[in-house]
Amino acid sequence: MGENIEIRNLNVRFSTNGKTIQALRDVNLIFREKKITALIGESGSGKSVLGMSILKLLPATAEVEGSCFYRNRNLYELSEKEICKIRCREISLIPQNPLMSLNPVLKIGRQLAEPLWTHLKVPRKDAWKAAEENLEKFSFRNPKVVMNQYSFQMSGGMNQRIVSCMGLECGSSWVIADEPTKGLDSILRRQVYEVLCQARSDGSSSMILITHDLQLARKLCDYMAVLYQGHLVEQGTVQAVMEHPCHPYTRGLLNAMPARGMHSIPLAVKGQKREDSGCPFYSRCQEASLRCRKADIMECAVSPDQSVRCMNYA
Amino acid sequence: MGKYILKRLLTLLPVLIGITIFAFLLGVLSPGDPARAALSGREEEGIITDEMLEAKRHEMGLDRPFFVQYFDWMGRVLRGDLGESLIDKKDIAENFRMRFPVTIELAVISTGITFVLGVGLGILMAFFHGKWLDHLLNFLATFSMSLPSFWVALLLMTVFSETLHWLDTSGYEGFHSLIMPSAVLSLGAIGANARLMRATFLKEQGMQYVLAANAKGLRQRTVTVVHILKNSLLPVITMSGTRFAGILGGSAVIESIFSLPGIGSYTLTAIQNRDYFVVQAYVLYMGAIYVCMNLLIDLLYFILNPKMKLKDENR
Amino acid sequence: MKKGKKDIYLYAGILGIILLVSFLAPWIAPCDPEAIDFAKILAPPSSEHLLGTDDMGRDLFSRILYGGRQSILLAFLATAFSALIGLVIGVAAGYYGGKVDLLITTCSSIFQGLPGTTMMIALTGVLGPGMRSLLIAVIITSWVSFSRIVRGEVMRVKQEYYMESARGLGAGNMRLLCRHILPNIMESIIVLFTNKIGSVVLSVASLSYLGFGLQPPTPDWGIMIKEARTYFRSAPLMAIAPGICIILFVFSIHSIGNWLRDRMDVRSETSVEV
Repeated sequence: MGENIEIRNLNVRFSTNGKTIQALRDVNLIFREKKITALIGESGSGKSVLGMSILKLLPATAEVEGSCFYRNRNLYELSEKEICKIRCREISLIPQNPLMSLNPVLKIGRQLAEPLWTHLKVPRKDAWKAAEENLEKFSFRNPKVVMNQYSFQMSGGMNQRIVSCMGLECGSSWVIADEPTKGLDSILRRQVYEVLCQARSDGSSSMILITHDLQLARKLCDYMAVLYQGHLVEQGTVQAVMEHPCHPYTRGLLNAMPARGMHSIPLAVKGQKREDSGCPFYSRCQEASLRCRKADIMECAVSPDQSVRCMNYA
Repeated sequence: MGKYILKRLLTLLPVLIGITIFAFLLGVLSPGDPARAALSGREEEGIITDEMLEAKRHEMGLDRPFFVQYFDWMGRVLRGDLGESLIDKKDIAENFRMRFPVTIELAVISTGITFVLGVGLGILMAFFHGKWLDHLLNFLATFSMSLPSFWVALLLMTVFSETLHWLDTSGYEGFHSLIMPSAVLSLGAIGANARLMRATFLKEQGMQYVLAANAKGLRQRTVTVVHILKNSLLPVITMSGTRFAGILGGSAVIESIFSLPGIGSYTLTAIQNRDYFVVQAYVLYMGAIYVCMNLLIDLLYFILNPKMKLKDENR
Repeated sequence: MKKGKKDIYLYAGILGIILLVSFLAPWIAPCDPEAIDFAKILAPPSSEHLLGTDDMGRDLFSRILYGGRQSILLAFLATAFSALIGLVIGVAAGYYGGKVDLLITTCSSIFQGLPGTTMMIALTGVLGPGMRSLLIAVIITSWVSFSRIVRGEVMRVKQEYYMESARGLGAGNMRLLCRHILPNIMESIIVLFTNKIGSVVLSVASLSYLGFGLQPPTPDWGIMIKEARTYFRSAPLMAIAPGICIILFVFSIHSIGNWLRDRMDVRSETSVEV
């Protein structure tokens, strides 16, 4: 229980130039320890925001409401100093877009050794050596050379392995992997998959995988949660959700997979404004009824392994 | 790295040659007859006869085609001979050597102040982005850039020299003579530097690598100083380098107001006296400064930006 | 940036007043700015002479009203010409690339290597003082900043795909330039233009102060400060009033330039003259 990450009533809003954008609305979710949970959704659905909020990495313009319990502490209420001790040490991040996530003017070695000497309080020399050994584990043939190079000298796959190594090196019990397969070809995707499998067997077995790669989610994950426009529409075990998707949006996502014929979800009818209340998927849903438009839809369990937020099951 | 610098030097060479041509033309095309000016120093104006002028022109080589004159002049320049002043008949190169230390001292002090304060205030503005301090400093930066430097110099001289008698009005008697001139020279540049620093810093702050660095649980100070600052210094360094070269080129206005015996005031006097050989030499000197400064900035880029090294290796 | 929005009216107002007053000076000035009256040397402010008189008994207030006419007009003209020349040369360099670009870049590097104000002094020294030589000197030293920015933008726009697709439709070179490139670089040019006017006014004032720019007895802020130098302590208004006018003009135009830059999201560097 203490090792789970429990998100309760999370609302995130961004206000810029007087406009407010609700990135997450009323999200309740438990990430279970020793399990891998996939956060699924299209770009802009708020899945990255959810991941970043756990580490308090959202920009200053974000208003965060709600709580996130981990080891009986509300992470959202921790001070900058306290959350710094949790970042990387207990919950680490494998950021998206590896090339952009590595500092272009610092050596790979420094960037790898940095968290080690910050968190494990080892001398810099030892940290450097430890980082070198870690690189070896990520199948770099000549880590000594890599340590003295820069991110732009590496291939995309190498950078991906470097940031993965960075996220896993402090032995944190939780890992948040943000879009690790975004923009990679199938060979590199397999590499990432192997790295994550390795992480799983290395002991960092609790993981949040932010992705829109359903294949990866199916192969790697135990649980999955589907987000649509900031709403958590469906969650459950991967098996349950993939075999018996309940929410029309989840079904749409699954049908859009290449293996199932790539049927795209129809776009919203133009001019139909989205209401503040009701189902966010209303305007695109083919099973929608008038009730869906106004009513507040509660989350309801369809089985012990699965729950959904849809009028059809309320 | 040597290869890279060599390559840069090769691209700068045409610029340097262009500047020498420009300098030469400036001397040739300027109104007035150098031969007459050369003679007038020794004899009374009325006694100069046409024959004497003719003879002098021949002696000075002024009757030859322009390009012959140019190569002849360049040959002398390369041997370090800049000729002598038309007015006081003194060696120009010697004069430049004597005055260079003052100018370089002024340039170093002023650029130093500008860089440190510019970077510091710029970061401060970025930290308080959107707050009242940011607005205030922004206002002051724009304000400082709108001040006419000669007017500020007069104001400072009136207050600190003539009223309070803290500093000497003019002349060069060591470091304290440079306090007011470098303050005036730094004033507007600090504003420009701070604004540039603020903009770059804010841009870098929003980069993905900063998020990744924060995710590693590093201290805020480490993220700011090591990660962001190292990335945002390059534009400010370029600006400071250009500024440094500019002051080295002689801040004619400030040097003459404070009567500093530097290159700028020397050139100004030469222009006033239509002493074209000095002006010519000055333009040359500027060209040399420009090329050196560019190489220096390139060198700094090389040290600070590892991407340059990679490009070098690939060449 | 909310604060900047309100301030901009103030700056535009100041600028408008200065421009209007300068334009209307012959009609609204109470006295002839060049009328010498040795009976009233360095008179303190009075109802007859709002700001007092200068060392030759000329009405300071009238001279202040006249003082911006020449240098502001000069700044606008010279900057407009520089922008035009820079535009043509920059477009040529960026659009044709290759050898043309190399030649132009080398040439502009030569001009860039020579420091602005000192170069202007040298040029006016060679050409002799006066409006015409000032105009030439400013243009020679400022066209480079325009051509550089234009060249960069043209190259950037050229890379963008729609130029490719437009060429596919068979549009001629000139039409391509006018329809696609110019609208894109207009913003950068406007921002640079505003900032340049401010710095040219400052440079011209410096030159006039040193005796290379506008010549006395022209009523000009720079010359007025030069003439006030000896009387700074006894008659401070003589130097402070024209100084404040220069600052107000340059500050308001700089602020408008900054506001435009923020609004248009243009990258630009502001240089400070030595």
